[in-house]
Amino acid sequence: MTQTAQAFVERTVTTPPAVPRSRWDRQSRAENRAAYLFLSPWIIGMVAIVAVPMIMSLYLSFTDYNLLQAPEWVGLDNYTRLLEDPRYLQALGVTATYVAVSVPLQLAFALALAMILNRGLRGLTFYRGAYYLPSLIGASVAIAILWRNLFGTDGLVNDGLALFGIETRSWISDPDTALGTLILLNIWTFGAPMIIFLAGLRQIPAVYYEAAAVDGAGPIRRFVNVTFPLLTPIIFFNVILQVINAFQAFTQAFVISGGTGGPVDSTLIYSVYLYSEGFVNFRMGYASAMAWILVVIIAALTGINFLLSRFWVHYED
Amino acid sequence: MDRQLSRRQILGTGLFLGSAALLAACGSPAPRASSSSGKPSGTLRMSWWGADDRHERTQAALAAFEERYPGVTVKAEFTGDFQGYADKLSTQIAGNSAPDVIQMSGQFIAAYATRGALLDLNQYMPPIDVAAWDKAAVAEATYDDGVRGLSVGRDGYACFYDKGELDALGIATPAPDWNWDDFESILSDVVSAGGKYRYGCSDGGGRYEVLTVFLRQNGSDLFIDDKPAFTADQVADLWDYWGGLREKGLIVTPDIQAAWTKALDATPLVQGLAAFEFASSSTLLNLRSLVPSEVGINPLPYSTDGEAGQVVRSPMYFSAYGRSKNPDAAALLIDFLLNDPEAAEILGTTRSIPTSPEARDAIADLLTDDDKASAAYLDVLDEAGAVPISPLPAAFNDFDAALIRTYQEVMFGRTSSKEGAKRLVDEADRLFA
Amino acid sequence: MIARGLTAHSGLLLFGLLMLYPVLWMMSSSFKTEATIFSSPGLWPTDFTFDNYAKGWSAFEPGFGTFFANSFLITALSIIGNLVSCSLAAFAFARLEFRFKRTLFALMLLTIMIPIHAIAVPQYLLFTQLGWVNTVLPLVVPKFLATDAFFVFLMTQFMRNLPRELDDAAKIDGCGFFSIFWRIILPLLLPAIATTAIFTFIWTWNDFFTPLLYLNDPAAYTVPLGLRAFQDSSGDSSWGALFAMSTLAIGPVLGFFILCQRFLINGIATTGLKA
Repeated sequence: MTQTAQAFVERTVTTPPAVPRSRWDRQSRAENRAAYLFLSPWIIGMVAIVAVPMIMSLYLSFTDYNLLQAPEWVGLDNYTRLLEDPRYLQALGVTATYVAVSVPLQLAFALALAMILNRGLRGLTFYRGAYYLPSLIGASVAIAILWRNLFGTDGLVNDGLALFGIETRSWISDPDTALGTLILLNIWTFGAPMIIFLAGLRQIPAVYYEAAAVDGAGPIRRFVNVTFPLLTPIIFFNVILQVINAFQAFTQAFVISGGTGGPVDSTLIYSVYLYSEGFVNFRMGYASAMAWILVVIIAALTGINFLLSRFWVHYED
Repeated sequence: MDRQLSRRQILGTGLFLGSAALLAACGSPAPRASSSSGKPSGTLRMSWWGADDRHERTQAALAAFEERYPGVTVKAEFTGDFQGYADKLSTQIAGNSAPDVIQMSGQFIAAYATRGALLDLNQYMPPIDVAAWDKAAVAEATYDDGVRGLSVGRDGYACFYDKGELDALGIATPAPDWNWDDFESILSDVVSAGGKYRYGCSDGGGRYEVLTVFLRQNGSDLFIDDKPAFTADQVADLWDYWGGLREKGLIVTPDIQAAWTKALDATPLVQGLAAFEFASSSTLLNLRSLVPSEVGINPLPYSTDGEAGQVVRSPMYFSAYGRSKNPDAAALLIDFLLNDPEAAEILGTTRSIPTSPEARDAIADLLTDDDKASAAYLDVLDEAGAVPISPLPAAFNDFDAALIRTYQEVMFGRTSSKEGAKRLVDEADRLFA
Repeated sequence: MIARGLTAHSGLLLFGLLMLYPVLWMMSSSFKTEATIFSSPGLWPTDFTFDNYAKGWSAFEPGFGTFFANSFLITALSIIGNLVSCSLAAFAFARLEFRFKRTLFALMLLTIMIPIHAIAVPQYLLFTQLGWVNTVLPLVVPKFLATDAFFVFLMTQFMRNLPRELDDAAKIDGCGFFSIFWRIILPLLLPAIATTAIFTFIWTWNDFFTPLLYLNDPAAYTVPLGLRAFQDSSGDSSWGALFAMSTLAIGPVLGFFILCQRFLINGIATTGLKA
């Protein structure tokens, strides 16, 4: 699976210089050396700090490991058991919905607001701060209480709905709507991609807009011809990372459901199940297998993303 | 570059093998060191979870211990919620670096004890002195022929209610030996009086403590010898009782009940939705600070033929780490925290009413009104012949989660009580096989 | 024109309030007595009190003064580490050609994909082996080794968005690779640098799990560890003190954000690039 991802990366990341070899040999050797010098901190970190735990967790995924005693090799047992675990399949379904709904909406919100906030409106510092604040506390312990205040039985949302005579309920704890509130919470914390979009917009050289203005382009044409194409590497980055983040979402679902993924497993997203199997129920081998299946899923999606990026992402280099 | 890389690879391999060896090294606890005589010395680590009051008191008690035994230094490690604490503890045990003295949960001690993580305290008596203790209390956490923890405090499962509201509505407060019929009629009084609360009580069908009381009243129990001792019919009966209350509008709706995540602030009583609530007696103090009017405490309703079946437990134990390098000093600290009058006065009831008779005597005059109410409640339960349900068996947490989940399915009408109960029993058989 | 501005403002303001409500609620709760926090969830405290702040600040040894100092230290080091190591690595990926580039890039992405809870224990074993437990090293050293692949990827994307002609012109002027990185690329990367600094600040400042595992001594605790120590959901929690200290904990993050956002947005870019 990683190999496919690699192949896509290969096609998109590199643009080999189309120069006769002999003339550039010395030059490219120097560049090679320089590159590894620039990369040296990362390589040390990769080999010494990142790779060892990753290999160990891969090893643990083939063992029965309860954290308290030495792991026992069980081969593919964990993986085959996962396929027959109804709660695992439930977690997969819940996570798929969560990712598929929240990522596009969150990114659309983030981009729209970044565009609005990138203009010279007065008081923008306040708005940027206000819109970003939720992301600052989105992962705090208080979020469960806050969310209950909004979507609970006596919450603000019900107060609003009651004005229109709509039947109220506890939205956070009804199995039909609990996942929806969780998705809303994720969209609500759109601050991080918004900031990245803002930084991307900042990088677009003014000359392009000046040129567009000379051509008499309106706001829509400016967006289609200038903003969007020049922002595609950043949009691409946000898509890749938000997909990964959404697949790994944990804190909000954990805190709000009290760690259960309830009611009736309706908010049992992947990482919550992984965590409770590993740390609460002492099945770290099983949890590690879950982790590596997730890696494969995310790697596949990222690979597809890289493949598709050839058709819509434009780089300056 | 190549040579450097390969050196790094070697370094990486070395670290990997080293860490893997560490993994493999965890296992059975160290054997009892030859009992050293002379003054205790060295450095100890102790960890606990709790809120600020417990941190402050425990830190003060540890300072008193260091003053008493000048050769010993105790390093404190504390955190808030149990779950974060447990994550850290499991990780530390995996790395062979857990603290010497560990505050253990009654719900989880079996999981740690049966996997060889905890010391057999039997071999450290003395310095631990349990002569004055009730024999059954000492033996509570016995696993693999060893005492893996000593009960710190006692706690009873209780029915709390908003006494201020009942008084205001002119409804008589429940008698200690009320039964489930009385319970229903009080709830219906509360609801029809139309006071501050929309509902009479939260839904008790998914709580293992309520299930235990119900089973005990019917001549059985939740677990006997760490095996489930209930039938699907018994569970279904309990669920049907609560289903009846729900249909009459006397207890909260399923969506409100499902918002309960075991946290006190999420209970319908604290939220101002229901007048009655089930919780541990030691939460009385905290409930009284969260509910604006007076909170009353009562045993759970008896069966109609007068069976009490009440539940007491030890919410916490003090244990010593199986691989502690200084087990004698660790045992000394455990004894100090459990039995010493000076420590008892400092610690008060921050880990509920002490199990140790010496500690209980030492603080008898210091109890606040809330503490006295808790202590008196424990006496009521003692008279009613309540038996501890702690410690719970190793896979208990799995079972508890399954109970809550299955009951939610029944509440929301996704499955019948009979079908749900059958699934729960199957799950329990699998978990405790 | 004025009417349009007003509409835009009222729209933005209304939306801003909606976003802010929970934060405002937390702040107002920090001035309430505990008995009214949950039973009267309105925004304005009826029984205004500062007790929560006094109680929270001085609760348990060594107190929040120390926790804030620890958090500042770890956060500052993390920001420096991330900025240096990630920009170096990103420069290589974005601007240089070298052997195994694709493989290494794919490997880097792979490291973001593994859930933290699956590698927490192996990582702990590794740091135990290195003797780093109960020091800040496990929290800080990885940042200097670019293990936050997120930022490497982020900076790579921003660097690739800069015209290649810049490098070529610099090369003709006789600039070495480091000069290109330092004099040409970094100044143009200010938005991405600000973004990295902001995110590193927030994520490090709010991180609970890693400090929980590696810091044993309360004198080394960070703010999130201090905050959680108020809350024992199975029993006693000091909600008032928790909200008071949480409110204080937002301050530095918000301040840093306001400070850095100048680099994100000052109208349209005026970097003077000619493409």
